[in-house]
Amino acid sequence: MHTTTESSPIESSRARAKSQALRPLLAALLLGSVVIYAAGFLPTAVAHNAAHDSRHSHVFPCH
Amino acid sequence: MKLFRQTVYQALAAALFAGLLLTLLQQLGVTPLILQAEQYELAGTTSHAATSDHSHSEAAPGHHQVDEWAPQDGLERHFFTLLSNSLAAFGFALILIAAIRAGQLAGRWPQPGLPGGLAWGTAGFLIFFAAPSLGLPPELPGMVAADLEARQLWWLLCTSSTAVALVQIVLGPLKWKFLALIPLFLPHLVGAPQVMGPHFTHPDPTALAALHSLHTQFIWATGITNALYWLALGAACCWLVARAPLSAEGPAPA
Repeated sequence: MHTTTESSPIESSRARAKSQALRPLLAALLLGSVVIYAAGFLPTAVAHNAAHDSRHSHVFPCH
Repeated sequence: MKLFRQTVYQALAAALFAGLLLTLLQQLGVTPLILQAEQYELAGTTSHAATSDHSHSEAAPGHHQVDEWAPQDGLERHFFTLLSNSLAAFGFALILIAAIRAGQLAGRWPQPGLPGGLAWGTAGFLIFFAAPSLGLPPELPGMVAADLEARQLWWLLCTSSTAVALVQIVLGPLKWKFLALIPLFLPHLVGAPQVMGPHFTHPDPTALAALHSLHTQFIWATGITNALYWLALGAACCWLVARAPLSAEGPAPA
């Protein structure tokens, strides 16, 4: 990627940034969802006991 | 994948800050109420077990299952609360930063400053606390509630639907903004799973009155705590994002 913003119109620069950023941002969204599941929803007793007060504070459904 | 790696680092930094703040705020209002409710829960269970054939006397404070590991009350329990708070904040920060970046790319909020951070934090508070709390009010330990999986599914429906509604309100064309009412009200029209009968089943009427009072305090305490936590998380995420502006080649070096 050697093109510079000086030689490209702003709109095409923005379009390129958008297409390049879509996958990493979707990946971040997915990872965030998995992490929230682990912290707030994982049904195993150990995960529940460790995160108990945090789940009640975040108003995740608990018990 | 530079943007992904950078997002993860930024989310981690924001989560450590917000997780610590939430843990400290919890000590002021939320945790003492949880501990008090657990005392009533234990007393109620013991009393119930003494007078009932089908006792659940294996229940321990905090619904911890005796057979399974649980942190000891005190420092260990606070440590795991800090860990879980930071983990949840990490998940929320990842989603928040992805949304802030998407807003930048859409050209709507190229430079989210402190006002932008507070606005994003408010959105997070509305989506992840206020909206689900309307159907499933903050729960104290010992409260009788509907089936857990049904409540979790409704929580998922409510948060995602409210998020769609907020996007439509902010980004939708003026004459179509009213369509946001559909996802906004849908989860509440579907209705959160509710339990038939009282939320507290403590045999002592005095304890029951105390539990209802504790529950009202708990709703306020979690509301104020979550509002401050989300404002701090939104501000932290925007501050971190603003330090590394996007360019055509991806994020600039930090």
